[in-house]
Amino acid sequence: MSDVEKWIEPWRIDLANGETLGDSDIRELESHLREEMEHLKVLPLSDEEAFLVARHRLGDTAALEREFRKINPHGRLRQRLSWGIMGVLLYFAVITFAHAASILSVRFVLMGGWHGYGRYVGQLEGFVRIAAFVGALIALWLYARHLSRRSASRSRDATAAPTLAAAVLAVGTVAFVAVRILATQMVWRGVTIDPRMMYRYTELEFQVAASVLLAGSFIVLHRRSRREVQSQP
Amino acid sequence: MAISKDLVAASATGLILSILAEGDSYGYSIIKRVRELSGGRMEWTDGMLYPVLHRLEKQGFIGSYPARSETGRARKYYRLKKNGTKALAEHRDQWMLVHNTFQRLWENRPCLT
Repeated sequence: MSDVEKWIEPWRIDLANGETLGDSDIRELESHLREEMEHLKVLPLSDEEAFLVARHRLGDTAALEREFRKINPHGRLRQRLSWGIMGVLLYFAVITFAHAASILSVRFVLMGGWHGYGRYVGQLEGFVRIAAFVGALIALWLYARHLSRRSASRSRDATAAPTLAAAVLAVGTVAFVAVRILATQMVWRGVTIDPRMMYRYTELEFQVAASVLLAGSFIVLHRRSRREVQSQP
Repeated sequence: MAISKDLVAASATGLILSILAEGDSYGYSIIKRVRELSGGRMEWTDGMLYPVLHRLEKQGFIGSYPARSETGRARKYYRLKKNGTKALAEHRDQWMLVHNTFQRLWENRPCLT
């Protein structure tokens, strides 16, 4: 990392840690900062001095936050939500992929004429599904780590929000599946339970509700901040 | 003589729209132009320009597009839209009214010599 980057990086992280400035705002300010530093090079200043002057001219972080909040009241939250929606979509993509892979693997085994293994086919389908799901999650995690290493500030929302959204969906789904299995077991043992617990698609309902909630809050925030900005002089 | 903060804030919209009426431009260049035109006496805190630009963009007065500098640095250029031209005309009328009012007041000052 060159000296210039050594000063710019913490400044960028500082801005990104606030709740207001979005990635594109920070990029624009950074471009301005670098251009100012370049113009200051004609003066007998060291790189560090040029950086300090340029940063001072841009204004301190608190003042920038204050001004940006006026035009983008829920900027950061909105960005997180939109990334969260991406996470949900990704989650469904992974699930669908795992499902398709498991069915294909069974077909492959049956087509291969390995009928002798017929009793394992059911288990195979489950294993392939789990393997595909876990594999996709690991790949996602590795990619997130790669992104956050490349730049500590820019991709924070881009990795944390979708991971969180997907994790909530995954945990919720697992919990609902567990409840369903438990409910079935209890029926087997002659325990009477609320018939609603037996509803087969409980976890599907949870997924749909979570997605609608996420998308809904995004739209509400978007419209509200647009209205707030438009009412300014 | 430095210009008060309030006055700088009040004139920002009009200044930006007028500079963009001269041609598309980006943040750093807009600030440089204001400095040039005011002989360095109208000092903005550079970072305050961007929220104003973004507000004007959301209000539909200006648009933006990405471009690159000669050295390859990413820049966000702004251009005046039709609505912006209308807004600029209104701004000009208002400022001219203020200007004329002051002028009349100060011209009518009794001559003391």
